Amino acid sequence: MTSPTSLDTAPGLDDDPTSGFSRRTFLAGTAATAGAAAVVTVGTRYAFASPEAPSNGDVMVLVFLRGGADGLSLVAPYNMATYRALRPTIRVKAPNEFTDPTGKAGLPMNQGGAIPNFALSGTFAMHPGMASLHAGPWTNGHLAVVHAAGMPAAEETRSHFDGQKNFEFGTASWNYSTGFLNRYLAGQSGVDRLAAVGRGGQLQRSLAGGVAAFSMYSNTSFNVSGYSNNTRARTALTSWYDAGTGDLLNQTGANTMAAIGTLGGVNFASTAFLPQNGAVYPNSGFANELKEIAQLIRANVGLRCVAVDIGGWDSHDGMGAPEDPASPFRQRAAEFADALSAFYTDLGSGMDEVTLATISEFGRTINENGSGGTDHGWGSSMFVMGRKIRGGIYGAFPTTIVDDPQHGDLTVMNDYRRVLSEVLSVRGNATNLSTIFPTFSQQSALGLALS
Amino acid sequence: MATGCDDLPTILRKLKTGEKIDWTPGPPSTTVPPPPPPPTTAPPTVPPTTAPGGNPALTASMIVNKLTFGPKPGLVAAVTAMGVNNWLEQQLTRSGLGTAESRLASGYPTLSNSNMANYTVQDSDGGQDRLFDQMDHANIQRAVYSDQQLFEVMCDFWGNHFNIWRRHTWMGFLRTRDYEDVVRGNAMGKFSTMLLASAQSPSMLDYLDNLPNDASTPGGVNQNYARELLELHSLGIINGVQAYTEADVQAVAQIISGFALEWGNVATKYDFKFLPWQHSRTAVSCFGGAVSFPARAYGQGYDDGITLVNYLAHHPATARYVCWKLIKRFVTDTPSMALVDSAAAVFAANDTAIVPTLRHIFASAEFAASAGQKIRRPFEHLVACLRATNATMGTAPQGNSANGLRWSLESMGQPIFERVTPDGYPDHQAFWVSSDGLLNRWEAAGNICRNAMGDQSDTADRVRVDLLSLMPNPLPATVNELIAWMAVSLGNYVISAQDIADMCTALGITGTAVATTVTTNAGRLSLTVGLVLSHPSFQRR
Repeated sequence: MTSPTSLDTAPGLDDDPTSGFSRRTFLAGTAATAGAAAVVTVGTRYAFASPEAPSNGDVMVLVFLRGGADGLSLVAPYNMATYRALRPTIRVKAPNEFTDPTGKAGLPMNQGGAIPNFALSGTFAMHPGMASLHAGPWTNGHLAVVHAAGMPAAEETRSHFDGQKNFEFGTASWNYSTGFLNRYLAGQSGVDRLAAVGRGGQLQRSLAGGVAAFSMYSNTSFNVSGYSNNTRARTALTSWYDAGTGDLLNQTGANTMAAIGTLGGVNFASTAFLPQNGAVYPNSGFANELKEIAQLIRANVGLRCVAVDIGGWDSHDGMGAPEDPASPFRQRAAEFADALSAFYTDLGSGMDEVTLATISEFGRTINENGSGGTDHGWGSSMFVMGRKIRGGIYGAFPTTIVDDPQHGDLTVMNDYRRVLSEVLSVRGNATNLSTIFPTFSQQSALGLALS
Repeated sequence: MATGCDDLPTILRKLKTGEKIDWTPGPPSTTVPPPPPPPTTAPPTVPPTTAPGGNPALTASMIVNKLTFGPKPGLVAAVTAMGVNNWLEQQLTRSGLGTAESRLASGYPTLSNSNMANYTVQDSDGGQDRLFDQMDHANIQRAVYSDQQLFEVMCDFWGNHFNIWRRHTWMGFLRTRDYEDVVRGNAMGKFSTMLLASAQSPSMLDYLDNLPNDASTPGGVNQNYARELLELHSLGIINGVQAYTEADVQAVAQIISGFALEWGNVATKYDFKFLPWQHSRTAVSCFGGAVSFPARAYGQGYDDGITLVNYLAHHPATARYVCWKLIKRFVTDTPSMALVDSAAAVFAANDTAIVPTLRHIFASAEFAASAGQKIRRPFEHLVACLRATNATMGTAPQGNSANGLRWSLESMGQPIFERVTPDGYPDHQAFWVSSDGLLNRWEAAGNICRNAMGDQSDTADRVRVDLLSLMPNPLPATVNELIAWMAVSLGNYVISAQDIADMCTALGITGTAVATTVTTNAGRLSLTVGLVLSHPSFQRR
């Protein structure tokens, strides 16, 4: 069954008979835990950073770079003459054009020098701020890069707001109002408990839909609080917020109560939930999200899909020079890369069963604008990370990039849904790709995911 | 036997002439039956009257939930006594300052400061916090305490429509004048005036990168403000349909280049100024030739920008987009295009005046039938809890009350004046109804009711409620009746017998026990009222 979900169906409502998952089953499974006891026991499995049943497929972590990330800085075609010409100050520079009067030219780029030790190929180099991602996942062959990625011309927009919606719904069609990750989960069996978690106060649209999904600001504060007797308050709220009424507010309240029961048996303060393998998460909000996601994976609460955001990519001005460690874009790139590499180190062999992918609503103009920034463009770059991901650069890239008078930006040559279709089918056992991406005609796999 | 609803042209004509419109009654409301009279003092028995052009299908209960930041004890009765449509007209035709302004008499100098004076404030130690804290607590108090509730709701609406993130650059001190003048100064005026003010607002031009929009640089213009001016402020995109092209964005960026600030060392430093050396003087044509300007001499071009913004303000797509958003705010997450079009016609016929447009929407059958269709956003929820409980708070912008409320909004995901993106906080339930969002709403309601909202250590400055003083005198006989009374008289909704029974079970008391079983136990009383404000029905408006 691949019939699309109607726009008129508010997300989060009905049991989907085609999903092999019944919310009643979910609630029945957790109802017994409404009191003090919880069915979730953190047993032997938490040594593995994995879902309880690996045959279900990987835990999918979707990172959204909100604001339209400049893919031409994250992964720079640094040897292309047009790239150099169109970006006088903000380009990632090659050694042969780099002059350094301060005498740092012999140092690696991440130390202010000229050696492009993050070169990925003769064409591409990773931004100097992303040293950790290069040294870890890329060098280990567990990081795939797809450049010139995004929505094709028929579905493109330069609007942040429509663009983000389109990427998260998996289509630019206004006939859909559920997230592609939720539709993926609707086609999976054994989906129960905390299968879908969006990090933050609001649920990401990629997770909205009929399968219960939970927004979670922190693992440890997810509970009813604020009353003179919180147990009694929980009982009243559980009775008032009814599951199965077809109403988003009531259903979300009911799901939340059930999830509290599930999480109630997990002691996140125990040493089992400390970062492992020497991983050090940097001190940033995004890094903390990934740290808590790793804890949720270890907690064996049924996690299958996570959505997490990192904002601040709308770089209209003052991006700064990549070789300057204090430049704004470099700091953002480093925050992103350091968090990803810490997550990869923390989970260690658990990354056999975890795949992380990144998207952004668009890339940016090739030419640097008059304010040292870049305006809304088209193609960006994607990263896919996991130990069952074959590292490398995938997909087509233009042989030359020009300041096109109509767009002035990077043509999308790789539909992001081609990448995610492969990830979801090979690593996530998805068999309903035409439901997950209803307006996308499937293409051959790029070959970045190992079965 | 009524002859049926007037057709659209007739309605539009009557709206102008003031003739009585024949409305077919809307479908009966399914969510809010008329509330039973509270057992406390009966409302005055003045018969309700209907203002000319008013909507006879409106009830006091629903209109209080829809057009205010939430019920205050006694407000529904007062609206009933005054007549629903008389009260509505009073809210639409405000005059003078609201009743909250007296709370801002001391401690809020930055609200009336010039940009230059606020720069000086920011430049002092802790200055930016003082600026922002005054903005935050002034507008929380206005929402809670002002009698001009519809005006405050509209300020919140336009503040989001023209959202500015004040931390985008170092020039956060500009934000105060924008909110006080552009938004509050025009919230019930003409949209075209507001759009022109916004296009010349230093804070907006800073936030959306029009200050560095300099055509003379090698890279050329910066499109950021131009794009959002079209997409978010005027023409809009409704369900993916947009009325402009990428080439239009580029042309608008050229026309609006040079809209910037006075940087000279004078009293008007940081106020708006057209800077000719940044302006693109090449000939430009956009919107299919509807807006065309020839090449200009150095120093010219400001008038072209004003012409452009006026064109945008009066564009039919703008009328539809603004009305679509107003209907999303007041009626439903999914506006009918019929109501959008009829409201847009009123908007256009009244030279973009906001009040006649609102009057038209409130007179519609869709509005009358929309009780409970919207989810209160976190800011609305917090303010509604404070109003429902007659909460008191300190007026100091950096006191414990202000800090506690500001933090609560942050925990619920809607920190005041901190939306980062220019689209403003979303206005649909899918965004706000989430696990974490609900947990934090329930916590805020519980904390307010047990006097635990924020730091309570300063007895002169804390958020306080006196729940006992809100209870009816005499009390109803039983717990069941008391809970029913709380829902109606505090929450302005009707609670079912089953939900009352479930609450009693959770509380561990019997519904037929005497009402003092609840009121004589402070913890039980705060728990009960806190839960009444956490009920699904109180999350809707």
